[in-house]
Amino acid sequence: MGGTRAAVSELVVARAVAAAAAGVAGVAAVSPGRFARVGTYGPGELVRGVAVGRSAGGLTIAVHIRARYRPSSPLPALADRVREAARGAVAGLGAGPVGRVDVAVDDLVVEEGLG
Amino acid sequence: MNIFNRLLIILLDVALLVGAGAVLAVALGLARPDQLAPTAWFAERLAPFAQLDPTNRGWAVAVAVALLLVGLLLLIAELRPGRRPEPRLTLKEDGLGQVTIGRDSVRALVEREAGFVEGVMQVRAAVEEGRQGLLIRCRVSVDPASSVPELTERLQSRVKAAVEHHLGRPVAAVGVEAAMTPLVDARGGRRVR
Repeated sequence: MGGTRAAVSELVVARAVAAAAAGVAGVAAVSPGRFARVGTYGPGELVRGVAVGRSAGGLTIAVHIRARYRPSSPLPALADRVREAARGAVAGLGAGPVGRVDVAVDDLVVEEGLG
Repeated sequence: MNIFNRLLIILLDVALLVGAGAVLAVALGLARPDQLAPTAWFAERLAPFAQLDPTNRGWAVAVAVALLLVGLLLLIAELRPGRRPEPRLTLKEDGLGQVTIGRDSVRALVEREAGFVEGVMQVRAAVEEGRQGLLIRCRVSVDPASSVPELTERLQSRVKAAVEHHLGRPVAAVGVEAAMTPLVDARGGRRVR
């Protein structure tokens, strides 16, 4: 069976990436987008906050998040963890190579007591 | 809505406008079916509207006008440009992708950090991108008992340090405009004390 790979839909990829991103420490939630809705559409379903496409380089993924404001955790480092989580989720599905993973921070969630 | 769906709706809408306009012109006697129709098939469809009795002509005109209005509204809605995307700052771009943040979020971060400076009562911030780094402007309402030069220095260093650490982008300048009176303008400002 080596060399064969079942096609995994964009919707399945989006679901896995959304779950992985939401589980990253420092991510308050996956964001549906602030000014324009971001998501991946499928039959009767919409995964908000994760847009999955395909290009010559493989899957392209855009993840929108609401980040927790933690002075000890810079956003670029958080974004790196989100990208790693997204790539890990896609690898876990066996969905093929991943090209770009863009991370958009839509909002900062401030927890009381910080400062 | 994707571009294909939008184009399809525009085409169908134009067809509706042409059809309703032709029916209206024929029913009102402004044109003959053979003058308007590019094909015999279309002329045959229009011909009955040239021979309507007054009651049915009234109905045909009313329906055609209603369809024209609906079609025009739909066309305007489809051709109107969408909302402008939120201004965003790029924090990082490499072969793996891009990391961006909404400018409003940066502004909120600046206002929050400025609010922690002793003596700041109210703050309103603006953030722009400059060649050398981010340009931040803060308008603050300050406690009259505080020393403005000291407060300004503390505010500048706190905001610069927080933004550079949190966003990983250099801050070229933090401008501060201090006033003893409350901020009054359209956006008000973040009240911190």
